[in-house]
Amino acid sequence: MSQPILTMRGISKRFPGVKALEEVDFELYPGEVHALMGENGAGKSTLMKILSGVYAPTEGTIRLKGRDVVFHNPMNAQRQGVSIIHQEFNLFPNLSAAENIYIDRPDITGRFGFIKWPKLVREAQALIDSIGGGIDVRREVQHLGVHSQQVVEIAKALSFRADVLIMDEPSATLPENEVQNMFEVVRRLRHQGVAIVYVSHRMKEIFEIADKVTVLRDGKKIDTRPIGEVTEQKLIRMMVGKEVGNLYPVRITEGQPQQVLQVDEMSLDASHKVSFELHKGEILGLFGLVGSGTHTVAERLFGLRKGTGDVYILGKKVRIGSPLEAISHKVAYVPPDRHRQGLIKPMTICQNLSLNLLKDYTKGMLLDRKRVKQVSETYMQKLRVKAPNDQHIVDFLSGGNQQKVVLGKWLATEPNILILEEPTRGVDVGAKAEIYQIIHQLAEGGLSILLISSEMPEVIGMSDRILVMHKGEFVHEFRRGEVDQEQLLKRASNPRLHEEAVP
Amino acid sequence: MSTSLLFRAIQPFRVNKMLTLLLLFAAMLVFFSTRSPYFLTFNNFMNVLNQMVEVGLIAIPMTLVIISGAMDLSVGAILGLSAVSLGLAYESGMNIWLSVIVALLVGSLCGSVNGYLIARHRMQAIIVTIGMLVMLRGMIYVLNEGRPISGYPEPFYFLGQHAIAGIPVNAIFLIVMFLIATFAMRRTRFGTYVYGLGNNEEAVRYSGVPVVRIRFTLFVLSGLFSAMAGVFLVSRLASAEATSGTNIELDVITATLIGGTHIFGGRGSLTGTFMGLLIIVFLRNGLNLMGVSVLYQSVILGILILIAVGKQKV
Repeated sequence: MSQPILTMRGISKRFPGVKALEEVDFELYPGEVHALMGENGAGKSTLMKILSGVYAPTEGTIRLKGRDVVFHNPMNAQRQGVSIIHQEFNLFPNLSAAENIYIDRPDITGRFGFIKWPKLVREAQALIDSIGGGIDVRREVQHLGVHSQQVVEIAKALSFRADVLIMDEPSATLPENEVQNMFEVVRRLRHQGVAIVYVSHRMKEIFEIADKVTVLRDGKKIDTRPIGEVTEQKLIRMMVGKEVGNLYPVRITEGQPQQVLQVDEMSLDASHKVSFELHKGEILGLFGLVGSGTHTVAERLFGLRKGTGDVYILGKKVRIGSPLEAISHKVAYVPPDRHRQGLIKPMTICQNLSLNLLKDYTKGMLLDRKRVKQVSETYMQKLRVKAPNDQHIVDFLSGGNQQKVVLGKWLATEPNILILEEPTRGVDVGAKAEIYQIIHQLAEGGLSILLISSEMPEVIGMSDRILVMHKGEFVHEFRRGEVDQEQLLKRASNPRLHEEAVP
Repeated sequence: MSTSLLFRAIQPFRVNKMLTLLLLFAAMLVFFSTRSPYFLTFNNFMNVLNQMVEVGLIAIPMTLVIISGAMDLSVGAILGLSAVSLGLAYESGMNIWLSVIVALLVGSLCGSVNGYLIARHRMQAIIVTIGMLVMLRGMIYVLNEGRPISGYPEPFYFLGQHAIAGIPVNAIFLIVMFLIATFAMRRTRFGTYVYGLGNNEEAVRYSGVPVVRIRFTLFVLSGLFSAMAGVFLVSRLASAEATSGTNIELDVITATLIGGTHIFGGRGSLTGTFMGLLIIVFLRNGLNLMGVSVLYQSVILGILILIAVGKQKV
């Protein structure tokens, strides 16, 4: 146990014009879960790619099980015992779990290239059972749940007798309640002596599962510490390089009595209806697990989905049958997936910032280009979008800056009601703090905000009130300061649980 | 840092694309003028301009349709149906200019059927327009039983056979249309929407833009311009035939693609299409003058497409 299974010494990686990694040392011991943390662009993914054989380091050496090794490609790294599980699964949905696990193994075919089915199924099942998957490997992957698919992915990685397993944001694709199951598998692997590199942005997970943590910043290693020696604040400081006060700004007003939005029996689907209200300057959090219907609430309010029920804005009954109508009633919606729904990435910042308002910027038939320019520059400045100018292509911006463009595009409509769905998904800690600050200022300025998020700390930290959703219904309401993550999750995953506990 | 570097590397490439087309065109002109004394004459040039009008007119909406991420294969059939409608309307005793309007209406109607199915019902553009192509071709033969309709009044030939200051009327019309369309794409919100649709339709929809209406408009425009092309063709050839416009969609799409419009949408320009158009018509003309057989011309054009479009990867 005292011998590291993997040692990386003085690893540097240079790309034309960029130093992605500089003199990074990294040690990994068998049977440990080693968290790798850092902001976007800190060099995590480059280090992982070197470790898994995608890139060759410019300088530095890798020792695996006491021998100097060179990985020529990912296949080669796998053969030598280093496997990686990517955030996005690489599975064939129409093949069985067993086929997926052994797809690229030559020893599974017999003479004349025929597949030895019984052997395939037997070995795959044994592998799945060894990590406690409880899956019938003959089932097609597309019929498995997300967690089970991940188990198949892990089994596939292990089928190469992996000594080192790299997990890239393994919880990102999992519903909140499946994360514990994944941890179970990770613990089992740790017990079997596998060394695990665990990459995640989620602090809570790191503290729950990791034994050690290594922080990278600007391509350099900042430190490696046992998890017990650090706190969340300390980790953030290491990642950002400076003090980031409290991530969540302190509220002064917590909303005003005036009601801005009232939703009455709004249908989500054939059998579910919701009612709620939103006040001026209030941040109302909406939390639910995957499939609970939080996204549908946003879609209905923004006219992306039709249904029944009444919506009142500032006391007046309104009809919102399309996004255009929603905009005209001063409702704005920052959608959850900025790549697909929020931005046209190959186009410029200016075009993106003005897309939803071009109609207002038209004089006669022609665009008022001065006004477009003025608005786009105003909001670029307001939100501190970091780019040389507004003709910059959005695709080339960092995640945080892209998200600010989406936010700016909707603030430019000067809304009364702002729906934010996953406003900080995939942005680094620095940008996160900035976005929270912006949301905070907007609410203090009287904007009513509906915050839908799957990140519990975000919902708890930002919201004045939290509505918990479960299977298309509101099951509970919390006020600021009343709830912690555990309670919130409990409510969201099983609303009945609490009622029984109450005397 | 790396991103702005990448950005700077891409920017000149965009300009280069147009420059490449210009150079290719210039090289062609030089080459053909050394091969045939007749090539570099005013008459020949005007002749070529006169003949490129139909393809050119349809290429305008086609460029927009392709930029928006769709495709229209029914343009040739719409051209044919509009031409025949014009002939039939005139034959039935209608005023010639009214007949022209009938033709334009027929074209727009066909376009709106395409648009309705594709925009409203989200059907695949290629499939819908292939269906339309087959159906309309059949309809044309049903309508006029395959006979050519000729004998129009003299003023009608002004469109396709006359010239102002030596420049064919229809070529002037084409150039004016290109200018208007280019201006509209740059200076109206419609232009931004079209590029937006081709790059990310969902984001455009989430921005409160009436996606259905824009897609619909694009296909109506496509039908209308195909009908215009039909009118000009009848005027130029003095005859409306059932085979009018057969395979013209291939020339139109070729010009658009050579002009740098991306087959999957999002990128492209009308200026590029105009250059692509000049390249294919002058290539044909030059090869004709050199006495190269039509069969070989196809081979050469095909190679040109492969070279031009081969760089477009998913």
